[in-house]
Amino acid sequence: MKLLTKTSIYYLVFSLILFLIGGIFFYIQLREILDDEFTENLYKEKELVLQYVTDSSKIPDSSNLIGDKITISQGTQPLNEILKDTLIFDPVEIEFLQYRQLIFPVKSGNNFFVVTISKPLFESEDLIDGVIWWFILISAVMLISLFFLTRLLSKKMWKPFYGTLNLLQNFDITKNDPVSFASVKISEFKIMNDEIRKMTYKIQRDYQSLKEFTENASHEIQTPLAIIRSKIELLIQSESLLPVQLGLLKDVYESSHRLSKLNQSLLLLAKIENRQFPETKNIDVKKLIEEKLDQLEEMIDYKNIIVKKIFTDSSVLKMNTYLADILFSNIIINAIKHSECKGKLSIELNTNSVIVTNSGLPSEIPPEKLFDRFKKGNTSSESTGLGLSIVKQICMTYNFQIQYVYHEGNHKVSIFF
Amino acid sequence: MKILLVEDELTLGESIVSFLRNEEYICEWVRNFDTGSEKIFIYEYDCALIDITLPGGSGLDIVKEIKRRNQKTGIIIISAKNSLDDKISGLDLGADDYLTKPFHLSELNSRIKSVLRRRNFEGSKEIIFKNIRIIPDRHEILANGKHVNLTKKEFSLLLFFVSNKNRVVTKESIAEHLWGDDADMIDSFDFIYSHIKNLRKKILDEKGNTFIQSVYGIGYKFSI
Repeated sequence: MKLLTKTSIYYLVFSLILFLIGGIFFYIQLREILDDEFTENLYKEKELVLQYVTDSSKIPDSSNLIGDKITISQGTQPLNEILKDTLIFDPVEIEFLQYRQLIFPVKSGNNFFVVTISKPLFESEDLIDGVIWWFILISAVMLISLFFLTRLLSKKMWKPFYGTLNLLQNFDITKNDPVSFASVKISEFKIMNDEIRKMTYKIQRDYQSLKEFTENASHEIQTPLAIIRSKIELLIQSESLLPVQLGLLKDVYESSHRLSKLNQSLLLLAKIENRQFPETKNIDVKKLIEEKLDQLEEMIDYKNIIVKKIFTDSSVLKMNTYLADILFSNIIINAIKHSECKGKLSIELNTNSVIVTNSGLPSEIPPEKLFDRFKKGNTSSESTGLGLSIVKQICMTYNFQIQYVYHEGNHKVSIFF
Repeated sequence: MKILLVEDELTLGESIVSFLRNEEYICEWVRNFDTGSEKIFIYEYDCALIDITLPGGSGLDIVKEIKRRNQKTGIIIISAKNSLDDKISGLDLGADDYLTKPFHLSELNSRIKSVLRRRNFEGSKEIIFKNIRIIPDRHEILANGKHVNLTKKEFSLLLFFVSNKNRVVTKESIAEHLWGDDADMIDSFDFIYSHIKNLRKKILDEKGNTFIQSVYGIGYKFSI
């Protein structure tokens, strides 16, 4: 939900509740005031009647009094004053109308009279209705205009925020250009932009130094290794070496070779993790697999592996060329390596998946740990134990799903694009 | 053949130089950008081996300068920076080959020979030893005047051996030469042996002896 929608909804709900409560309160108050006013008026009239009786010593003629309906009737005994609301039939309107009546006794000479003053209540009802309707109308106009006003203001106020958001969305860590914000006047946004600028600058700088570190580390470690290797290569050319010495050199050489491979693989993993292969191209998977099989022909022939290609459909992937090469190379080589002699290898290619199946003995590694680093079935083997970790890392980079199952003597590695 | 080596690493430079001198090349070695630029300004070389990260500048600038001055010089970039960018820009500038550290000296040797062969149009394009004639451009080999059928890999292997004749080449360097990065994944060298066995069978001398000997598990030696 957008910020503006959310604010608008909150605004609407709260102001509606507020206006409703206000309206009800206003209505009750208005009623009470009018009610009190009515009763007061009734008593005033009563005073007038009593005054008249005292002054003129006679009972007023009911028809003489204009306005409220006053009836006077002869009573027999003194009675208490009564104030009540009642319905009286109006012959003109042909309906019952609400009246407030004040009934009180008047003594004139020795006679008792009962005076009833009836004040129609519908006048006040009409007044209340009118006021309430106006109130609702004004409220509605206010509500709507305020709604649009706040919307407009929010839009204007949050504009720098959306600008920043947009810049952040387009922020690319691998690119070295700093994030540049337009100048803002609101201090909170200014602070936010400043902080983000500092943060992105630091992130980019850290990323750069990490990148440089991996490259420098590679340089620094590879060079001594290269020296060791080249010195041994020079040394083994010597004619005077004894077989025992050659044997020792062989061990040193092989270990340095392995160390070098290990270093390269670890650096590759780090580089993939750091997303240092941003350039992508369209990779024709079918072509790449054919190429790989061609390159590995001797290995396949050597083990007498029967290769079955099931290419139902080829897909084109947007990947880094180098990583695509490593990905397919590693899964195919892995399958060849773990195939038995005269085994079967099948590569199934569909629009959104590659499934490499090979026959072989079950792995000593539990399937869920197969893609972990330094997991290898045979600890003495030459492999670094990083091949499948690299595969997994590449898959993670491109959001591919990778899956391994061992079923009826077959290793099955599936990659879903 | 005159070779210029521009490499700042002392011990690696020493190894390369002693190796190249053994191969009877005339080798000059400089260790920084300025002297490297100076050398190519004054002399002409058949082949230049240039490191990219140098004190005082980038090896790529030297490559540019060589291409500007003398088109005939073969250029091989040697760099520890295993980055694709450098490789592409180096080759774009006109370098003939790119070798990533660490490399096998025998691999360097084979690359130099290949560059020189390609560059040296006036010279012989054939390699002849004893009863065997190799024509690299046509991927052809004749033993005792008879055509020998070799697979692409076997041919490449033979050429590698010939480039490094009388030297011990390690199994690792053979694997890397033939399979490049894929060699990392090979955990048994048995099938290299089977390859060599096939090659041995196909090229024998007049007396039926093989040219390729194995050297105590460490590698093989091609000698005449």
